[in-house]
Amino acid sequence: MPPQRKNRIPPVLTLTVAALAVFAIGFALRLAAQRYVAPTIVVNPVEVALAGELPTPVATPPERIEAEAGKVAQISPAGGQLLFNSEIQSHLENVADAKRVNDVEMTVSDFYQSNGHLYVGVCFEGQGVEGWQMGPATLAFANGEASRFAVHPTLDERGGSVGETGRHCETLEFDALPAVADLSKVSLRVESVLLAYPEEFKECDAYGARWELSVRMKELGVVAECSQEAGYINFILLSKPEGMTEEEALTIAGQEAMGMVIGPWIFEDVKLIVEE
Amino acid sequence: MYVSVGRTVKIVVLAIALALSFLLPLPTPRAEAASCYGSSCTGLYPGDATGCQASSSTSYYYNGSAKWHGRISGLQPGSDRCNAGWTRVFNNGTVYAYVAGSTRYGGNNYGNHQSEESGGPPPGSDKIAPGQLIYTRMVGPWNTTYLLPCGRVNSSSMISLPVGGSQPATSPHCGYAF
Repeated sequence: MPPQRKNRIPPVLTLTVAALAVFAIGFALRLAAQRYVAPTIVVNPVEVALAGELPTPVATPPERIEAEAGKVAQISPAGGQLLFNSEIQSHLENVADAKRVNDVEMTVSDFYQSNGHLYVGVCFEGQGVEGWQMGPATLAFANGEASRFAVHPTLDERGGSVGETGRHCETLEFDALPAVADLSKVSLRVESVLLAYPEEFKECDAYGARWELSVRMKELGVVAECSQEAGYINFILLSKPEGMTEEEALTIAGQEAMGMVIGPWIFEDVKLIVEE
Repeated sequence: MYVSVGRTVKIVVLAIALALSFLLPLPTPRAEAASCYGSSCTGLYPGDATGCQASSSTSYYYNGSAKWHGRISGLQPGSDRCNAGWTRVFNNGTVYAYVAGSTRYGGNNYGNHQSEESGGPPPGSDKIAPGQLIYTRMVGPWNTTYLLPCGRVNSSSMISLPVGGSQPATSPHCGYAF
């Protein structure tokens, strides 16, 4: 005896459920795709250009093209040269000097002067998986000095987690030299090197993680906390050794938060190439 | 009523369902939406308070222990883009110092500003440790307003606001317009 049809699910209902399921799966896939943010690969424009893959790169942010044309035209109100390109970088290839301080070797290229701006390439080794940056620096010339410059990162090779060293390079652009600067004798002093800045508005997370790994803070007994506030980040001292002031303790915490290696690295009488 | 459905009809219905799932508009991700755009961001802080996140940046500038840059939250309304800019300034030195920043705008001489100085809470005039930083409040709309990022660190004396003084366009404490 054949089964009775009234006990079976009607094909129309089955089809409706199947259609709804297909719709839901498709919609869910689209929602997931919308919320997935692909990881950004940061490629240095100067390096890429030097490899011949791109035309002359500029230091201007990519979104500048979204601005009005008139706005883009009014640039460099200080009379400086905003463009930093591979042509300039090509003059900074010769390593002029190398110095090792506190186990960090730093090299500088020949100085290159163009349109009143003085450029120098600085490279150094950095341990660990995080990126690095240069600390403050001063350019000394025969009749004065300058500590104002723009920074153009050109290389950021990360080290490994087992003490391998990476390599970090920046081109420094001293763009506020006085007209009377005597550049017959130039030297550079770099005060420190630091770990790269954490992601914006997440600085405290990164600083906290670095404090956890700080041997110096553990040995001294300095414990600090970081809080993210509107407009700034705040350090709160939780513990310090007797005889140490709060300012001294938080200075140590700050230096450790930045992974600071204190120099100085001093490069005397570096060769100057002047654009004809 | 029991109605049988043909194979072709099934395929067509399922195809329509699939097509509809790709054609219907997706809801806007509300949690990630910024709370201001353009001029309505002026005077507000970037970050969690408004949802404004930087999508690009100017070069970094150094002067002494001050390292600063202009930050740009781009032009897509309804997400984390706010069409506004601000300045972030770090104490990159080895000692405690006063830290101040100004985002200058307006007129030929950038006469207006959003400024912030270290210390606090709330931010006031006090020294802060190496590694600490300040953000200025935002200025918008970025796409039609020239902004000038200015920053200064001084370990010995307080910093007069706005950073860059009366001639910010030629001040060594300011960068290039963005």
